[in-house]
Order: sequence, then structure tokens, then C-alpha cells
Amino acid sequence: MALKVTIDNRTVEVEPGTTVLNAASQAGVYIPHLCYHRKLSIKGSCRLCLIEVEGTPKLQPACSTLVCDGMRVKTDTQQVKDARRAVLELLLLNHPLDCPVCDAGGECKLQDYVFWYGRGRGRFVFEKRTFAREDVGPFVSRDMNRCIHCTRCARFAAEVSLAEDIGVFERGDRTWVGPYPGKELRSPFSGNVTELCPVGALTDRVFRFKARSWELTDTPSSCPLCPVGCPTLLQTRDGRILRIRTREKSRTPWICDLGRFGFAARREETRPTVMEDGRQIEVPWDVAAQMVAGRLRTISKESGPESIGVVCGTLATNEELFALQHVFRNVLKCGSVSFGPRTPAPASHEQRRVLEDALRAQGRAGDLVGCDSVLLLCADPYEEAPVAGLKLLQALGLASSGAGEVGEAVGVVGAARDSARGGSAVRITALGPRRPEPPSVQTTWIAATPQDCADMVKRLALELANMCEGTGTARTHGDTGKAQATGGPGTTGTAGTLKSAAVEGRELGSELGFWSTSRKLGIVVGGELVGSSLVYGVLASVLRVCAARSALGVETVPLFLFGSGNARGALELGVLAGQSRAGSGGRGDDSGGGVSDGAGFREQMDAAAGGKLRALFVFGLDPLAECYDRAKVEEALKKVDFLCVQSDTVNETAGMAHVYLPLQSVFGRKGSFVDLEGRLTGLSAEQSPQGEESLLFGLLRTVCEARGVATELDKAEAIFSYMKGRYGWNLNENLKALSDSEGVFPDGSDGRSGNGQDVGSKRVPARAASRDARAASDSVSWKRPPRAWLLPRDFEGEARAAGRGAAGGSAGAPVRGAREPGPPPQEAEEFVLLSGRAGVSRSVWARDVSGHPKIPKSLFVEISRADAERLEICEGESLEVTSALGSVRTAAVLSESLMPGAVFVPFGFPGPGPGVLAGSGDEVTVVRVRKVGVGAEC
Amino acid sequence: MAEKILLKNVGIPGSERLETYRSRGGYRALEKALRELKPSEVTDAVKKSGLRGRGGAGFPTGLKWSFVPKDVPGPRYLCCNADEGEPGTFKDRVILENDPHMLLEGIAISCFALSVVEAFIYIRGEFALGAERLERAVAEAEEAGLLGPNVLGSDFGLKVHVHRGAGSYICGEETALLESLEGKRGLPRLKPPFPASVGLYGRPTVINNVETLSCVPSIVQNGPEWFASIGTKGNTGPKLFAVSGHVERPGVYELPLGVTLRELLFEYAGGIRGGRGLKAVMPGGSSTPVITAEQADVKMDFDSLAAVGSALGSGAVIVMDDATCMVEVALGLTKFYRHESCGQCTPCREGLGWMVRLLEGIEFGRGSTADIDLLLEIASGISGKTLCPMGDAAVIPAQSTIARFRDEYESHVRTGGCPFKSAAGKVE
Repeated sequence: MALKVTIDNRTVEVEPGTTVLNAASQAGVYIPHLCYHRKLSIKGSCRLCLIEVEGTPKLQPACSTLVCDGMRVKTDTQQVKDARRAVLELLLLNHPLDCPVCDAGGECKLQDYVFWYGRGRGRFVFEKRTFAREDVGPFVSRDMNRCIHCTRCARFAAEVSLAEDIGVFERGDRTWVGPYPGKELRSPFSGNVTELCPVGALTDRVFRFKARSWELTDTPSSCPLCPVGCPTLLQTRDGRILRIRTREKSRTPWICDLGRFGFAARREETRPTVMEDGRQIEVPWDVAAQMVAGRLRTISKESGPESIGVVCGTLATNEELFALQHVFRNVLKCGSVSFGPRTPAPASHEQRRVLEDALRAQGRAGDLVGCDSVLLLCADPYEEAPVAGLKLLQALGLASSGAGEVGEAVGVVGAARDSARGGSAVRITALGPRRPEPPSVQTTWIAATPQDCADMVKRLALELANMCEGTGTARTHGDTGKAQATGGPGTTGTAGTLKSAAVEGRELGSELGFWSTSRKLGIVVGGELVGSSLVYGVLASVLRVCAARSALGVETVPLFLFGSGNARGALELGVLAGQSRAGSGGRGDDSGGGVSDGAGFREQMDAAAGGKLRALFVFGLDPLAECYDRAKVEEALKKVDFLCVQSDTVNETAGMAHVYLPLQSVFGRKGSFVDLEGRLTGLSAEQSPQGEESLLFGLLRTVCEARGVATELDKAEAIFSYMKGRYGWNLNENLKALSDSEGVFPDGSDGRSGNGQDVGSKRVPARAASRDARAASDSVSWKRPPRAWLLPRDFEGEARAAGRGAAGGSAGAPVRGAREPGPPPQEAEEFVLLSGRAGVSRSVWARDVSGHPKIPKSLFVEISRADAERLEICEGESLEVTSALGSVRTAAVLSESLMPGAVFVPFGFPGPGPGVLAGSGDEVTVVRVRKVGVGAEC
Repeated sequence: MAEKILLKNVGIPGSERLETYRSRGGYRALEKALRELKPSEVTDAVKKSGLRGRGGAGFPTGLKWSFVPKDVPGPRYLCCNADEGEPGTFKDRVILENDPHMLLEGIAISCFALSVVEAFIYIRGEFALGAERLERAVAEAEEAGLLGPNVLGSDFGLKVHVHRGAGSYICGEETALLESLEGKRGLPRLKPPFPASVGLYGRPTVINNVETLSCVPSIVQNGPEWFASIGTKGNTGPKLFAVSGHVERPGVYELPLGVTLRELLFEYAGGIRGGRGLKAVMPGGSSTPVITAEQADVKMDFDSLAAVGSALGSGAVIVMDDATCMVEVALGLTKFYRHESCGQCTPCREGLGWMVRLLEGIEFGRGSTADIDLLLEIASGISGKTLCPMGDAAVIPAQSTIARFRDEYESHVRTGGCPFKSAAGKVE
């Protein structure tokens, strides 16, 4: 039933529950407001939106007054004008009139309103209250003098980000807003407050003093930096990005700090070099490109196409991925294209199927609505893919989604949420080495290494298989598997160093039972697990859990946080070596059937070390900083006859290259990505001297021409439209339209209609259907996974069995670097080494953007506070971490969230990193930690 | 003096103890309610008695109770507002410290009427003795089966919590009280929704003043007609008047509503101190507009005081003799409100500080006539524009003293200082 309301003589019909403010905006009447923000709960405290309601003597706040039928509202009476003028005058009492030097000048609500509705002159002749300006976090600066106490930031921290890092202190006119004692704005969402602040009180430290808002041009784009792929707005001046913001009314109303500030870490090298006598000499582009083409042709002629390998980084666009594999697989007939140095290639048909089915089963964060239990497997979504993490919390009703204009807003905020946060509504269990963020969300954390997690989810799959009224096969297999599983880490831990009590503890027994029977279970698999060699076992187990629970009549939503950047795009387009070359066909040229699928990164390195791989093309990454077993990779890279690196910086690997070719940053290349949930998202490019077409295309053209092959696929737009046809994407959009959109599913839906809640109609990448007839029948909906998934997979037990043999003990996983017989040095202590990407605000990019003291400037080793206290290690103290392979010296970072008994060393920092310590991702690496030098004061 | 109802036990040794209270007829009303009455009959009796809230607003209590939705499943709460913070008010304190069981009995009966099984008493943080005695009274009552799972052996159970505030005036505002009780900053909530439907922890909640709830046992015991026979029509029952200021015998006086101010001041409170003349009175606490000596025959009840442009408020009568500087009065009270403003909404947060500085200017001889008008203008920018009623209250001292004693302000401006202060200092 629509309600009729008349606002300033304009009558509109609105839904029940609409506020006067929103009804007015529908009627085309603007009512000024400061504390109200459509993405936050309603506070009603700025008193600027007061309006007159006929029949009510007092003025009413438009933001919180609900429309009733026949209501007559006036916003242009003298009473309303006086009230606005009074409020604005009061707001200006203590507000500095420093608009000319204020960063928010030109986009300040207060400035606009005073201009429109305020008095010409102030009458306050007394001294204003003042505060010192302060940086309240790595990216946010606070000028309390300008604060108008709208509390948007504090509401954001309390209701949305749940970081509870910024709050309101004191009262009356002494009220101030700032971080809680001992805290800073360090959550992955800290930057959002700069966008929320209606004045210049919280400003963006990256953008500060760079430009005036009216100089900026808005260009819609998508964020390439994590697999969530949020729609963003690039704000450019002279074509260069100066600031990134959320889009108006976007499906992702908040973006993370990586997406907002990460662009500022971009670097752009423009000069190609070639190695001559051990020195890299600058050369013109054509010379370098011709050299690459020539060397590749020669080596291919001499040693065959299989002696050429390609490694591709995670920030490659779909178009680059497609062109890269097209040229190398179809023109050069070389199959060994791998994606990232740590992504394990599927070794068998079986594993390939697991990957495909996992992609098909992939849920969306929004699907978790109504879950009564969530299992996080080595996953910290809030840190590793923040917006996905936030959506997850929103789906569970823990964080405000801000969509409910009035539903929760008028009056009491979140009584339901309070009770949910009290722990009654949804049970979140985190299984992994790290307690997930934010701590304000009640989570049961069971400390476990990734290996343990893999084992536990397998055990869950087996329990469930046994519970099913399934086939006899399932049961027999299950029994075998169970023996393996219980004989594994359940009884051992690893190498005696890992205090993985939880695995053995009774609590897991009851948890297993709970996960078996809970009504709706969400399983989130963390990116580091997906990127490790455990991936196929874990994916298979999760799929089996889904299938068994489905057979038991309960619902499961799996969510795989695929790596970083365009990882899902690479999977979809078949770049992973060993993947069937779904995207490899070009121009009807599928004669490449003879070309082998080639090797993954590790096999490539083995081949290089063995002299079989002679040429390596590295695109858009630094394998030395990102790989396991760095010594071996370094040796292999030295050994290849021809190393060509194309990347946006002259990184360590590029420093070794025979030919280095520059590349625009990912913000300077036009193209598309595939996001976590399967949407195609478009990337707009900022202007650079190299143009918006990826420099890769130019190189590939030269390579093709050298082979006498003409290619038309040298423009992103052309490749995109070719891919549309090739994969049967049902889209009208070209790349430009894709960037303007918020991302579209390849079947043509815009993703907004479902908004992540249409559990039943999972979008399926067209690839699956086109490549495998088997999939066609169940490709539309995967709500109930096929019963085939009730069976254990062959490979699930293999690695484990092999590992046990190798270790010769009861250890659940092979242990490299187990200590030699004999007493260890007294000051050294053994830990399990964990490695991976650091959370958003501790990654390398943050260092390049902000000089904040808490952001690590170089490689660090994270150690739990408990262990640190026992070993008397202080924050920042220099530690030596030693494994059987090597050692690194780093600064200690004390962690509240890391499990005791493990240390974490992040990838990504230049120079020796975890790659020096870890032999491969397959094994548990044990390291010793020793203090070196004089420690800082504890 | 009329029969004492609310103060009948005050002054008796050990009045705060259960045995004293029972020996003087205590908890019989609760027994009567549980054994003889249905919950709705208790509510009806309260409605019929004409009891109006004693916290300040004077809202009919029975009507307030009837706003609680009947058909909502889940818990509902009763909160007793014992955060007595209004300047000049100290009437609830007398009950809390001397007769806590009367309050508990009132709470128990009210909870029975409202089907509430959990009640909270939010007591002002400074009331250390009151809180201590209240807590002991709750323990005694639970021990004696007067509170707890089966009150007096019936199947009605009630848990009473005593919660001490932390010293903020605004937490006496009912929704700020709820926020504070929930462990949050004591900030008033937007209304609607009203606490009767969405209150403590989002549940239907009734909030009543100490004195209001203390009236309930005698209503149940003696009947609503008896209660309604006290006082005047529409303003029934006994009232505690906390008389302070320039009188000979300041203190709490229990008198029927409708007693005249003159009678209260001159017959009970011993007249103006030192034989001076009466100048002005704030009849219901610092949030009520001053009235002048000429209005001393006004009846002390809700409607009569409203008719002369003031209010009964909490019944805190602040008396000022003829040596009082009204600018100083306004300054002192505005300072208080500025200090106690919660700071969430603009007019109150920003406006009061400005008013204080203007008042300071006038009091200390730096003011101008324009400042007096500016004060009124600021006050009208605050009054009625704030989120909670405190904005209205906070400007009343300045507004009403200017309205009634403008000449005094003007003489400050004219003479460049306070005429009530001689060169030797303040006039005695």
C-alpha cells in the first residue's frame, strides 16, 4: 500500500516505512542533512533536517520521521529556515573558517549548506575551541577542529566495519571523536571514514593537498587488487588517478584500503633494457621486442617449443591472459604457461575436475544469509578479501548492510545485532593458524596449521559420508579414509613442535557433529589454502561435504577465496598449466592438439635447472619474491639461456633478465577481470605515455610477426569481443560499458538483480558448459552437488601416504628441516613456518603508500604474543629464522591473532623471504627462531 | 500537616530494614495484589487513582502502562528511574535511603501488573548510601520470598537489579538511561519508537520514577478512590516537595498536590531566611521557569503551575530571596546544563557554551543590550529543536529570568557589573 505525502505542495506516493527525507528526495525537494547517511543507521542528531509537519507543533527531523498517509510537510517556511540558520550558525561557532586551506573545500557539506541556508555573518565573538591535528591511522588524518560531531565515522566503526576503532569521547561541547585508547584506524576499511566525513575532519592522507575536488574527473572502473573486484570510481586529474572512491549506490557500498589507496603504490618503468656483459643497457622498445622474438624463435628451433616457458602474474587481465596463452600455445606451440609461482597446477584429470567443480559450486558471500553455522578454513576473509569478508558478516546479520533505510534505523539500532553478536544466531568457527578479524565478532577459533585444516575437513567429509544413506561404495571408501585421517594429524601434530591440541581435543568431536547437522553451513576456504598444494584435497573434501549434506537434506554454501587479483580469471580461461586449454583455440586453430599442457611453475624450474627449459618469459610478477625454494628458483633463472621479464617495476627477477620490457601498472591497462563470484568486471585505464593498451600486446605482435603470423588480437577491446564469441558470453557490453557497469555475469545478468541471494541459480561460467558435455546437464544449478561427490577422491590419500613414507614416522605431513639429532642451540626454539600474503594493511603496498610507523618497512616475522613473551622477544627486535634450507634476519612483529607454535613470514617483500626457508608448499617447514643483536626495550 | 503516606516510615530507627517495614504494614499491598487482583485490575486501579508521573513530566502513569503492547512475545522490562539529578531535587533520595522496601513493593506490584519478570533500578552514582541500602533491601526481600522466582509463594517471579549510574545528568532522561543501562554512552534516543514498544534491549519497557512507584502500594492497599481524594482534581495524591534555597527550614515535605506555594514556604519551610523578602522561585527544579513573589499563591500542582507559565517538574522548590542576582542564577544553571549536555545534537552542544559566555559577559560587566536579545535568539534556536527535552530545559533559566527580570539584566549592562555585589564583595 502506497502512502500519499505532500511535500511543499508536491504530492508523491511512497512505500510505508519511508522517511520524510527520502520521500522529499523522491518529490524533488532537497532537505539538508549532515548526520544522516543512507548507508548508516539513523542518528537524528545534527538537527539540520528539521521540517514542519502539519498538525505537529514542533519541528520534526526529516531523517527519522516516517511518512504516514496524507501527511503534509513543509520545508520552506520561515520557521524551518530559521531553524536551519540557527543550526548552521551553531555548527560554525567552533568550526574554523579555513575553507581555502581545507582539503574538503569544494566537497564539504557544511560549506555548501552555509552558503545556501546560512547567515551571512557570524555573531560569535569568543575564542573557538581547538585541538591539535593528528594522524589517526596510516591513511587517515584527523582535524578535530573541523569536526561537527555527526558521528558517521563512529557509527561506521560500530555497525559496519565492526572494527570499533574510532569512537566518541567526553560530552557536551568537549565531545571529541577519535581512536579508542591504544588503537588506531588500522582496519582494512579505515579509508571509508574519509568518504563518510561530511567536512574536512577526517581526510585521506594519500590524497591530501594533491588536488581540489572540482579538478577531478570521475571514471567508473573496478578494483583489480583483490579477487572481490569491487566497482570503484577513479578520480583523475590530467588522466592520472589521484583518488579512488566508492561508486554512488554501488553493490559494494564500502571498499577496502587496498582498493582505495593501493593505486598509490603503483610504479611505472618506461625504459626497456637488454643485458650486455652483465649490465642492463637501455634500448629502444623495438630493439628489445625484436630481440625477444628472435631469441624465442631460435630457441624453439634449436630445442623445440617445449623448451620455452611462460609465468604469468596474478594481475594480468583476461585479455592479456588470453593473448598470452593464445600466442604461446597456438603460435609458438609451447604449452608450459603457468600462473603465479605458488599456484599448484592440477596433476591429473581428477584434480582438474575438482577445480572445475569447485568453480561451479562457488557460492557468493550474499548466499550466506540464513546460515546457522560458518566454518572458516584457514580463512580470514575480513583481512584477505575485505569486502567479501564484510559481505559475509552482513549476510550473517552481524554487520549493518546499511540498506535498510528505516528498518533498523529509526530509534534503537541493532538490538537484534547485539543479541546476534552475543553469539546466539550464528555459530562461527575458525579453523586455522590465525584468529580471524575483527575480534568483535564472536568466533570460536581452533588453532590449526593448514595441513591440520585439510585433514579436519577431510574427516568431516568422511563422517558425513558415513552418515549418508549413501552407496556401499561410499562407506567402504570412507572407512579406509577414516583410518588414514585418524592416523594422521589427529594423533600427532607435526614433528612435536606444533601445539595443535585442538585437533585432538574433544571439542572438535562435537564440532564435527555440529557441522554435520547444522541447518545451513557456510564453508569459507582461505586464499592461502587455495593457493597451496593442499588445494585439491581441500576442494574435494569441501565438495564432498556439500554433496553429503545435500543428501542429508541440509544446505551448504562453499566460498573459495581464490588467490589474489585475477586468479579466478586465470582459472576460467585455462591458463593454469595442466588445465585443459579451453581458451587456447584461436582463429579456428585448434590444431595445437599436439601441444602438451606443459608444466607448472615448479616443473618449469626443475626443467630449467635440468637444462630442458631454455627460455622463460615472466609476465607481471617477481617470482623470486613470491616463490618457495628461492635458492632453486634463483639457480634455475640463472641457468636459462634467455630470461625475459615484462613488468611494471624493475624487480629482483627483472634485474636478472636478458631483456626487460616495461609494462603499465594494472591501473594503466584497459581490460577485464573475473571476480570471485564469477562476474566479468571492467578496468578503466588511467592515462600514461605508453597508452592504455597493454604493452604485452605489442610484444606479442612482434613475436607473431617474427613467425610470419598476423594477429588481430592486439587490442584489449578486440580480444574481449573475440572472447565473447569464443566462450559464448551473452553480453552486449564492450569493455568500456563493462567498466561503467558494476560487473556482469557471462550469461548476461548484471548481478544486481540477484544481489548475491539467489542461491538457486548459480552463475556458471560458460567455459564449463562448452568444454565438458558432462557438465551440461547440471550446469544451470548446483544447489545439490552430484552424488558422485560422496565418494572420496583417489588422490586424497596419496599425498598423505607418500608423505608418511617419506617422513618415516607418524607425522601427518612430511617434515623438511626437522632438527638433527643432538641438542639444539639453547636460545633457539622450533616453530612451524607459515607463509603467505600479509593482511591488507601490512602488505608491501601499504609501506609504499604510507610512512606509518606500524606498517612494516621490510620483511617481518610474526610471532604470537604468548611465544614472544616466553622467549622475551620484543616488537621490532631482530630475529634470525633458520630452516634446513637457509635463514633470514627480520624484525619481529608480535601478534594477538597468530597461533602459538608457529611463525608467519610474508611473501612479497623484495629480497630473501619465506622462499629461502621453505622448500615447497607441500611440506611442513620447521624453523628455529633466535634473537640476534641487542633487542629493543620490551 | 496531612497524613504522611510516602514519608510515613522516615525517621523511624531502622526504617530501611525489612522487619521495620513489615511491622508497619509493608508488603501487604503486594500480598493483596497477588492474592486478590488480576494484573489488569492493578493497572485499572492505578489509572483510576489519577497518579501522574513524579519525575517531572506528570504523565498519567496508568496510561503509560497501557502503552506496553500486550501481544508481543518475549521479555519486557520495568526500569525504575532513581537517577535523581535535577538541581534542587532530593526527594527520591529520602525514599531510597530510608524506605527502600516501599519502592521495592511498588516495583513488585507494578511488575505484576505489567507481566514483567525483570526490573532494573538505575540509581544515581552519587547515591552511595541509597544504593547500599537498596541492594541490601533487595537481598532481604529475596531472602524473605518477596522477590525472586516465586513471590510470596505465587507463580509470579521477579528479579530486581540495582544499577549505579556514573554521574551523568542526562542519564535521568529515560532513553539515555536505557542506553547507559545497556552499557553504552548515555545518549538519548530518537523517539519514536517510545520505550513502551522498543525500550531496554529493544524490548517493551516501562520507566517510572521512584516516587511514582512508591505511590503504587498505597493505591493498591487503600484503593484508587482514596488516593484520588488527596490533592485536587486531575492532580491527585501526595507529593514530595524538596525545598531548598533561602528558607529557614529547607528539606523534603510531603503535602497533597494543590497546596499553595505560600503555605509550603511560610508554614512548613519556615519562611525566607533572615527575614528577607521573597524574590523568585523555581517551583519544580532548575528546568522550570522562575515565578515571582507575586505569584506565591499559586497551587503547587501540575495544571496550576502550567497556567502561570511554569511547571511542577520534580517538585524541587528553589527559593531565592531579594538579594539574589538573577543573572548569576541563570549563569550558574546554564553552566550546569552546558557541562551536562551529552553533546550529540548540535543546538544543545554548541549553543549552551555560547550562552554561558554571553551570560558571563553580562554578569561581569562586559555585556551589551544586544547580548540580551542574542541570548533569547540562541535560546529559541535551541528550544524545541533538540533531540531530547534537555535542550528545552537548558535554556529555561536564561529565558525565564530574562522574561521576568529583564530590568536586572539591563542594569548589569548599564552599570557595567553586578549591582548585587558591593565593592566589598557579595551582599550577604
